[in-house]
Amino acid sequence: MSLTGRREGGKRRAWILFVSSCLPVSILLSSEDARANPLDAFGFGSRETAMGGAVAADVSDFSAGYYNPAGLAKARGFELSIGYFRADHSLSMNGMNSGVDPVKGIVGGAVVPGKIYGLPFAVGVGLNLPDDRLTRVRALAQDQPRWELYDNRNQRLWFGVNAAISPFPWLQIGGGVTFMAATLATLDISGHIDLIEPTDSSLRHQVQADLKSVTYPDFGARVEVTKSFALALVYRGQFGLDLNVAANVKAGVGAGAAGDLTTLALALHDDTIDSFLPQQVVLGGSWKLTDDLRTNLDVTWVNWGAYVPPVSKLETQLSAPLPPGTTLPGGVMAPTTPAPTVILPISIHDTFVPHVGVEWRALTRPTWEGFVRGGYEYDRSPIGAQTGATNYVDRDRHAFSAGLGVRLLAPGKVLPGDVRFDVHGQLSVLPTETTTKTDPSDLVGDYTAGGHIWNVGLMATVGF
Amino acid sequence: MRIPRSLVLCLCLSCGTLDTPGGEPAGLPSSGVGPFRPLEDGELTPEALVPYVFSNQTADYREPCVVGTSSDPTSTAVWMYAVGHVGGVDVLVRTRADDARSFYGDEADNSGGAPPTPPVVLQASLPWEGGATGNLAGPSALMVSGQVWLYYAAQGGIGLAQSNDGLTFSRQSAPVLTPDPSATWETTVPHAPSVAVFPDGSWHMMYGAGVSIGEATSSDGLVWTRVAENPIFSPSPTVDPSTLPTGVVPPFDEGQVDDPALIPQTTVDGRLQVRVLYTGYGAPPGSKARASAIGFAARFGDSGHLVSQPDPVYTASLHENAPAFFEWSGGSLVYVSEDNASISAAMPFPSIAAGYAPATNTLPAPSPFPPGP
Repeated sequence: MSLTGRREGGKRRAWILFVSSCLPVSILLSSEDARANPLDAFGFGSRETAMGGAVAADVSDFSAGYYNPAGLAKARGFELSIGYFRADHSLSMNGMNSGVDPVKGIVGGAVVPGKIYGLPFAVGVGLNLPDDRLTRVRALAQDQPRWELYDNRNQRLWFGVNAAISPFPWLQIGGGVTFMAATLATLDISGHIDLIEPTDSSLRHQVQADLKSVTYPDFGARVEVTKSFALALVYRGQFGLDLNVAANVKAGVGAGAAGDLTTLALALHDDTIDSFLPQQVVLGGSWKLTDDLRTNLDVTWVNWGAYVPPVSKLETQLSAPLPPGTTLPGGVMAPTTPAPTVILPISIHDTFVPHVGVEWRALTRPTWEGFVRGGYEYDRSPIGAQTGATNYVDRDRHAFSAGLGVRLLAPGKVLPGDVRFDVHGQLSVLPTETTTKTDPSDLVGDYTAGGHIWNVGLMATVGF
Repeated sequence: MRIPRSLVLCLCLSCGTLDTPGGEPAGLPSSGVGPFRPLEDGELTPEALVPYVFSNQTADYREPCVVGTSSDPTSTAVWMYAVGHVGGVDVLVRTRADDARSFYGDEADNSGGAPPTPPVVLQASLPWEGGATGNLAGPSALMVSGQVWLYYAAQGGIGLAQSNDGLTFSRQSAPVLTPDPSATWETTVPHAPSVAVFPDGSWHMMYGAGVSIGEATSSDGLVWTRVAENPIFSPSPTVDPSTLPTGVVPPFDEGQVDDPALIPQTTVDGRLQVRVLYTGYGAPPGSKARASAIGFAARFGDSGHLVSQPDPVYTASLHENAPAFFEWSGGSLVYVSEDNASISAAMPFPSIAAGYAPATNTLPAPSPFPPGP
């Protein structure tokens, strides 16, 4: 077989591998599990996280599906990446640890480049797979203090499929979709409740749940202005997981053999937007200062102003008529249908998030290269001062990151490309500040909040 | 070729991982004043009838006040002063609990047969108290330099008694707060006092009169002066129920506010927050059947009117009233007078029930009843 034939065979094998690696994910999608996005908070991939997420104009591996799909078209060959990360929160209110769960899991993906009509083309998949839970839905009362951007939103599975093409050597464009899910559920309870002998009560339960996937789009473009300078523009769409739960209870209420005294009917409907992700626009630049030194700057506009807080919008209908001929003692009131939840407006505004990253090829050897990386990201809190009844707790975040990388060049015949190992560490500092209430009868009252988050991880990438 | 297949297998297996139990966030900030839930089974001794912590069908214990006996913020050792009906008159009795729940002399404290009788610490005798046949009410106790200062209400106003051991009291011969003819809103004799010393050393008393709550200040706890802003807290404006949306009920306290329990604290921001639990009535005094609930009002600073939460912080639909309060590092308890229908639904008798906050937490198992009062 000629060299060209081996290459074509390699590409066929690469596509087979790509389809194989997509298979379990596709099965997962067809089962319509719930998904969402933790990548905004903790990055995607060790190299990218170490560089403060400032890679919109400087990414070509699997993580391009999140940072800039256009970067896929710069891939040099078929790549498989896998890694692991863990982010541990040490966030507190009034000096008490808030118990925000860690976010951790497997990170990985693949990039398969090719050509269409002679133009460089690539498809990539990216996956963030939590190892504690695939998703979590939590709708809290709006006055309950919670770390709004860390407590629940990051407990998500994320899966993106993207494609990119390079119509000109100086231009790459790409786009794709990210899959999420909506939840629709109904709980029906019916039967008989015995007040004297509760064990004689007989209730039938019926649960119907429907998990429907939703998607949001993302697009990106990358322009090589000069050989050492590139610009990027990225758009990420908006989505929210719709949690829609209805419960119906209808039961006869009686005492022993006397039969039903009355019929209790309770209808409950809860419609909640969970894990809202605002649309984003990223403008990025990458400067290759020397052959060994690169610096990047991204600025992300985040449309937090459209944020829908995950507050339970509960509507209830209650019917429990008194048995004929009975009255309640004076001063004792029968239960009535509660008023629907009134959602208070959340004070939240758009933000611009700067990211800065530096990559230095510190060591160059015939068979390997060594990299040192650093980065910084400043997330000004989009949430306004919680002086009223709501308690969406958040603080400004300063994220300092660093990392190391090793690239093995042509390590063997089986691996004609390269093998890369990257590690990262990121410390997010949320300065402690005091929230003061305007209403002295506020049941939560004044509180301090702040803390830090450690995020560490590693990645291995194999290029064919 | 092994590596990609391993990756595929890894992805397949990873998709089957399950959540681990999460649990609710711990240590959430709170003003400490509810919402409260009634105590539940397992939080009182098995013999007790939840949520009642101090009950006796003959003595009709009611109108509690509670004072901690230790400066240790983790301690739940308390003394309770309450009104009891003894010898045909209403007197003040004292009991105690090591866990703030299992009170000496409660009906469940009967391992030796009949429950022990808590001692009477104060009984009316002075003329302004109504003499020997007078009734005492509304105790409010606080620790002052190792002494217990016990304010109480009687026929002629609000009096003060002092004790070194919390059991034997010597009383002031004259009331410390008497009716003020110039205070037109005080259509009844001042009653239900609640006294606290603020961080600046000033003494503050809140009391019920008419349908509202007033305030008086003092530099020594003996000589009191009404504040100019009185009444500092009044019933919510009356609302026509027909004008309200479905499910929205009129204010629970549009008839009368009474029985203040004054609880000052300094917030994490260094502000003085004056917290007040109170009884809110849905109808004015004298109404044939009026519901009540326990509300929460507060202000920042040492003077001014109170603002309140629209919803009660404790409700049981059992004519609950006269709240008392105790907080420690493990949460807070509200004690209220409440109908006890355990013997006769038609003829309930008053007892002292308790509620706990944070409502989502559970109290540890109760302690044994103490051997003495």
